[in-house]
Amino acid sequence: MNPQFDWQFGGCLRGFPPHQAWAIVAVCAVVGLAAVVWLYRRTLRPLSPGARITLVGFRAAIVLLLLLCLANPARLENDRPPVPGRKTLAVIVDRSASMSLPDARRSTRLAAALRVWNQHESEAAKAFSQIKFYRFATGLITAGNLNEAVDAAEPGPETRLYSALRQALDANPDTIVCLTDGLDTTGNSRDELTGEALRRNVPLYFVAGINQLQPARAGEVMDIHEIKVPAKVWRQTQFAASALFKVTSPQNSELPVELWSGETRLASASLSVRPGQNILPWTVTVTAGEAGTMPLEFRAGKDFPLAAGCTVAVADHKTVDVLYYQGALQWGYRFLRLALAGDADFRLTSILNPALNVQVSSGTTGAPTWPDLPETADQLKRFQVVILAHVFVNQLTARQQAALVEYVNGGGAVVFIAPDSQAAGGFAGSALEQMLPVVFASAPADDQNPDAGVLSVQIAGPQAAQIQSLPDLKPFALPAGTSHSAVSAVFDQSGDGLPQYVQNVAVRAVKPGAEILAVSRPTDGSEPQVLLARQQFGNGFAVAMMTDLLWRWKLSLPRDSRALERFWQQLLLSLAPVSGEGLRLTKLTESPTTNAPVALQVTGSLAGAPPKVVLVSPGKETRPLTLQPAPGEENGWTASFIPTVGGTWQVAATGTGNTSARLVFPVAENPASAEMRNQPPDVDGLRQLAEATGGELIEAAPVFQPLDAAVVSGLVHVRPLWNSSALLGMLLGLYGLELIVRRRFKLL
Amino acid sequence: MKTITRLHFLKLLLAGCAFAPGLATLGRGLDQLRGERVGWARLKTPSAFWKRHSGSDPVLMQFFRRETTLNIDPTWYVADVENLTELCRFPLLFSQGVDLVQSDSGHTNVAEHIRRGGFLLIDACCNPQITGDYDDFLRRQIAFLRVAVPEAQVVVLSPAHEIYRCYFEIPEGRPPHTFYQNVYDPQKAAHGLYGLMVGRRLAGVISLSGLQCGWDKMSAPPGHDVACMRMLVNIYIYAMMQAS
Repeated sequence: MNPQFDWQFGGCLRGFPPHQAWAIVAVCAVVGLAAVVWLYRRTLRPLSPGARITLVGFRAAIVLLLLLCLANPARLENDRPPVPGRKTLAVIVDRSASMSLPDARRSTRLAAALRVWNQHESEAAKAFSQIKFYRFATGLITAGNLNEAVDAAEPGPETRLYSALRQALDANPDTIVCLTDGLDTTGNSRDELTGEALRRNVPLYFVAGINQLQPARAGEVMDIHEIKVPAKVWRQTQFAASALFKVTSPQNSELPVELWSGETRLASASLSVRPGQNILPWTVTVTAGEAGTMPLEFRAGKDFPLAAGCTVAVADHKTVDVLYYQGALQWGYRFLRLALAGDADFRLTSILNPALNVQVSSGTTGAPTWPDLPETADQLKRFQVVILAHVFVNQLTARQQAALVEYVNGGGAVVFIAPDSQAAGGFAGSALEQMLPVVFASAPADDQNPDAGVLSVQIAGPQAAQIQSLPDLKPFALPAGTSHSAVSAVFDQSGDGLPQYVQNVAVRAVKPGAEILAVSRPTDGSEPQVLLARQQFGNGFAVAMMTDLLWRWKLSLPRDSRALERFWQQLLLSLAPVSGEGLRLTKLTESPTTNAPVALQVTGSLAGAPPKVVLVSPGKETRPLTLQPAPGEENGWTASFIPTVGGTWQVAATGTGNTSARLVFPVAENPASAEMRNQPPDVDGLRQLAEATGGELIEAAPVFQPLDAAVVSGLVHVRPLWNSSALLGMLLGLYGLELIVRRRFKLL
Repeated sequence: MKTITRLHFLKLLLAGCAFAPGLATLGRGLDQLRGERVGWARLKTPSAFWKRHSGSDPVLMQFFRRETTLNIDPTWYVADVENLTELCRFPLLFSQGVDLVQSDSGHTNVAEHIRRGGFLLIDACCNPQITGDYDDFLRRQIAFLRVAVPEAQVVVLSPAHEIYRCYFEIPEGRPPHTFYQNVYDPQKAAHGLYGLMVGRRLAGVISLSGLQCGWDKMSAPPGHDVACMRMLVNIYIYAMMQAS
């Protein structure tokens, strides 16, 4: 979206239309210039014509520049100019099989959705200059009109709803309306679609296809889609183990889940299941025991027919190399070093931005300070974690930012710490921000910075000792509804409690997929602000900490307290990557049925040797499975088998280094397709998705305003053009030159 | 009065016009690199002179803000030795001397601030009626600290120490001394800075130089006030950037 530029005058000219203001300025200029010529008409000494013209020229230029300053011109940038006739609407029709199944009254969901949409067609035609039509089932296809979108195709076997909407966003429509029952059968993430629509500023509207179709049968299709467990952890540390459960359900229900280690149940929960397709994440914080091998197994479902497990290597000792980069002078560094100095497993190397002009030896090892942050990822790779503390965007070159992104993508971890909007806002839209879990609000202008100009007003006398007005400490809080996850791996919630900070900055948004670890605890009823968030980026982690470095918290704690030490050490340990990849078993076939091949994938045997895989049938008969190298994967294999009977099947893999993985899953006698299970429409899900993107669920009430009545308002930036130091310098320079020339001609 | 030639004056005028916008831009850039706000506090002790020279502390704060990117509050605060919460609001405490702190709570609070990671800077006023004998003043501070923080040691900071060059280069690694009524005192001149070490951590500095008298423009050679403020900036930044 291109900004539109406009001009405005300030002061007494502000209320005038531009042409009148220009006219007034022009009259003033003519009067001023005439006065200059008249004043130089007679001088103390006779002047040559050339000297007279030079002096008049200087004075005239000064008058014109002064006039320009006094007129106070400003440039207006309008982010969203009203451009009539530009708005495009994309109407997308779900042509999957579930939309064409008739109920007892012979009514289909497609017909119901069309009935609702027909009521809004005329208002859409008035509100949008162009309407494009599409249909989708497995892929998005362009149609010439609504009839073609509805009639031209056979119903598809799948509903790739989110994928189709993302494809439609690529065509840059202004608004999208989708006629659907909301049952995406692929398991894709809705958050990614929401994020993409928000990024493109395209609201999504839905017309829900609703009929009286009864579910074909009770019951659910479920699967353990993925488990995430580190291959290696360090003894007596905490780590996060997570699983993604994929459940297709005809009604609201609960999914019981458990995590076991050998014969010990570590955690259990009951996850809420909505009608339709659900992707349910569950994360448990696990405390590693002593060095050795720790088995972990996720179980799900009533009587737990599903299980997926693997082993975690618990290692004895670890050294974490941390690179600390500081962009501003502040006390956090001293206290962070103190926190890490107590544990020999942490080695800290520090870089202070050259602009700070500070030269001190640094690092636990006593190594000299590096001159600046490296510009290649290779140089960063010897560190497990890079901390960017209070860095400003103009301190990092594009190459340094690119190196950091590549470093994290390759498995490193970056902790970005910024307690003020000047530091954080500068990174809005930067390469670094792309990998961070949050989106920054733009930096405020200088006049909005509370620190700006503070020097000029605070000169105190001897009796001006201040009452203690420094800000108070504020505690971190866990996000609402959080009772597990990596949060507790980072925070010690006992003893001294959660960390406390003095200063923080609000972010504009948290990216989909990011994990919020801590928020503020507002006392005025406002929304909590994100203080600590992290997300996986490539093979590594990126963390955003929007507070100070917690040194005031450390000063407030009794000397015996190790709370700050524990916080930093746990945070850094939770981010430090480990080498190698654990043994994993994945079932590629979504809903196994008898007499149909079931595909399996085995990855990550630590030493690269193929693991042994054994299949156990419901009747406890065992047989080995033959592995084939997976194309394009160094440590990946595939296997398949054809189950002959229904029931619970089990696959167990054993790799080198005492690693193992296990998978337990049911095999059905009859095919179970999510598309044809007559799931009820996911109306609530559609409404939530629409509202999250600025749209709504279309029902009887009008939703679109006519084009000429629509007010397209945008953010108008006013940028004064008269207050630049260059203009002031030019004015002074011209005046100085005029004085010099007058002295030269002996007029002074 | 020193005079300059007309040509020189014109050159200066032209240079000023040419570079003024650039300097403004540079200054603005520095201002944008400031870290989080921190306050400068004087330790309030039973001494009647605990806030002597505090009237010129804002001058020091201005110097900090002009010469560094430290976001220091331009005014000064009070940290009462009897109030631990108040002490712990400030990472560095400036004191005229701690030897007059007699109470157990005062001892405990100073020690607790240091043990939590704080920094104590003691600077002796150059007025002999306040400080008395400098050797004795130093002994009294050490005696207090031995009792309050027995695990700490007071050591001489050699002229090669980083504290003399971490930000400004202090000539010959010697702190600038302020002499009372500008009369040279060889006994005082022999002293450098003393460091309070807790393990490998520099937890404090004892200065006999009268740095505060320097920036308060007591009678001294030209430029001495700036030299004293430079020394103090070095101590502050070293305390901030060097944990151990």
